[in-house]
Amino acid sequence: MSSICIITALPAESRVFIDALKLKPILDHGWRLYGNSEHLLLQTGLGKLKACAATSALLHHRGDISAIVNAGIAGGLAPVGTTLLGHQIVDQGSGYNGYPHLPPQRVVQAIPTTIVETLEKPSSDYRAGVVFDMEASGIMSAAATYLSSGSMQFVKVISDNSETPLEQFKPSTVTPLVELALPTVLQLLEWFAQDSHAVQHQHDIKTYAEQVASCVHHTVNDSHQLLRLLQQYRTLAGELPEYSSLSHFENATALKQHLHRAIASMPLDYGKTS
Amino acid sequence: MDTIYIEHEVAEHPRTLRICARYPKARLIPIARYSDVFNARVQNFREQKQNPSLILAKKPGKLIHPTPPGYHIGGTNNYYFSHMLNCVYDCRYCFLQGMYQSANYVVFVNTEDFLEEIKRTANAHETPSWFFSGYDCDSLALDPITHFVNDCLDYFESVPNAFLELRTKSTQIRPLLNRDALNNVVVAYSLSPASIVQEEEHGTPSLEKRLDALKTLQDKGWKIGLRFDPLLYADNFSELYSQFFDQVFDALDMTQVHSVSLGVFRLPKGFHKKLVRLYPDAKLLAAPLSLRDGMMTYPMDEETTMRELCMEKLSSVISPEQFFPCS
Repeated sequence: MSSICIITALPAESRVFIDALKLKPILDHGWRLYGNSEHLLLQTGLGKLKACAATSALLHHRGDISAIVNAGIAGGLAPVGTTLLGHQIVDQGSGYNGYPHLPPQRVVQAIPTTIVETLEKPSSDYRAGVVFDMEASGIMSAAATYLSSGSMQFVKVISDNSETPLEQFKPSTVTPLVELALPTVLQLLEWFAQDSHAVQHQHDIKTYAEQVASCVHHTVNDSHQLLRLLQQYRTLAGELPEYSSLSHFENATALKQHLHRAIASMPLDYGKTS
Repeated sequence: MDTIYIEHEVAEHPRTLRICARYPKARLIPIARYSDVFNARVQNFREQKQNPSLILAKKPGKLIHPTPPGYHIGGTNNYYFSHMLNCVYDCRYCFLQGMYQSANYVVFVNTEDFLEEIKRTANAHETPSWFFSGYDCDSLALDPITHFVNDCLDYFESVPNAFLELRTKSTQIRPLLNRDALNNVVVAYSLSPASIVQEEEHGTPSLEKRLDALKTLQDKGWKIGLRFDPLLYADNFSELYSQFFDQVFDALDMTQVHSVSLGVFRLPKGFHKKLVRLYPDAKLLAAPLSLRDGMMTYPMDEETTMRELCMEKLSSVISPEQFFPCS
């Protein structure tokens, strides 16, 4: 089963999602990780380095994560409490630039989008069309190794602006502010869950191929070929071969030949022409 | 269209304004260069195809390119141009999936620059030049948005030394029907048997609708072309394609067809690899394919059988002068 992971920086941001999704702590690898059967929440700590390191480590360790949603507070010109979706992630320090592929508007009810600029330190240099945070670029650059641009979304809630500058910001407002983003994050989770079926389908074949390869010695190249043959087999037959029919071969070559023959004997027709 | 990215340079271009006005609810996102979004890493073509965005841009640099060898319909000077990148349709065999990172549509709004370069290129030759549209996109499918066909035909009307092929699967032929046929324009349709259309050409008009459009264009005096490319392998190939050709021959006056071309499914090795990664469950990729001259295609004996059957059917209704094989 694939999982979708929410990524936050602060405990006060995490609390909203832990409560809403009834997530339980997962004690592993020293992460601040919470989860249920479908969702995970990773709390990275403040700043892009911590965000990058934690995201990278988690995605490397958990190959079942099919999408991430980064949620948190940000500074900008919009009124405090405005929820925005990041259409471009910029790292002020390195110039790193990323474009998440945005979900359809029907999914997120046409919430406004913005450039999310990740800074080393909080800033009051508010500009039109840009919000400031401290993690997004770290998360996106780490996730880009594992996920596509459509499988990562960035939801930000304005916590400070020129009328309510940083000096007046109260940490106690974080949780109520992030609660405003909860509906959007939940909509994204649901949308990602619908999309994860195809991923799951391929994950099943990979697991099956690994099982077969564990019985008969396979080189890396053999394993790639085995996976492809199993994909072709399932496309034509509609199902994978019986595991018992593949586990008795002496070597990978004999197994491949068997699958080649089986595939060649299957019909590949288009429609009915009568 | 949900999201429209707009290059700063064309933000006030009349075509940009007209297209954006058509989608008043779209998110409008300014960008520096289309390539920042379109060529960005970590995109997933299959995923984006479910919800593609539109990118409005100015095409810089060279706009007209020589066609690959073998891509012609009888002319000696052959060029292609891409006023759009990507296609609204989702054909499982399409090489664009292997070529591009992104499934977003790019529309270049600097149409006049394309047309000027076409004129310059045509004038550089003493013999007629052919210009192929629809190499990196479908020529007509997005025309209600781009209005490219009208702009283009106004121009070709005044450059008789330049010939245009509009290649398409679309039935958006109104701009063609609203004007007199031009002698230097061929409207070429890619055709496949109905069951292949249904299983492998997702989102395209049915074979029947394409034939209706072809018939209408032919009746209106437009030169039409038929592109049987790619031919796809099937165990029932002979029956499938025989019936298909009969259906085409019944619908059209084949003696008046400008050109017919034919080619089997083939993809550069790298594109094929990417396609398998994107669509491991695609039926056409489960067929026996082998590597020949850098292309993944059917084994030679299979290809010969497929071509011979098609040639036998075609030679009964067209002359050799109408036929151009694809290599």
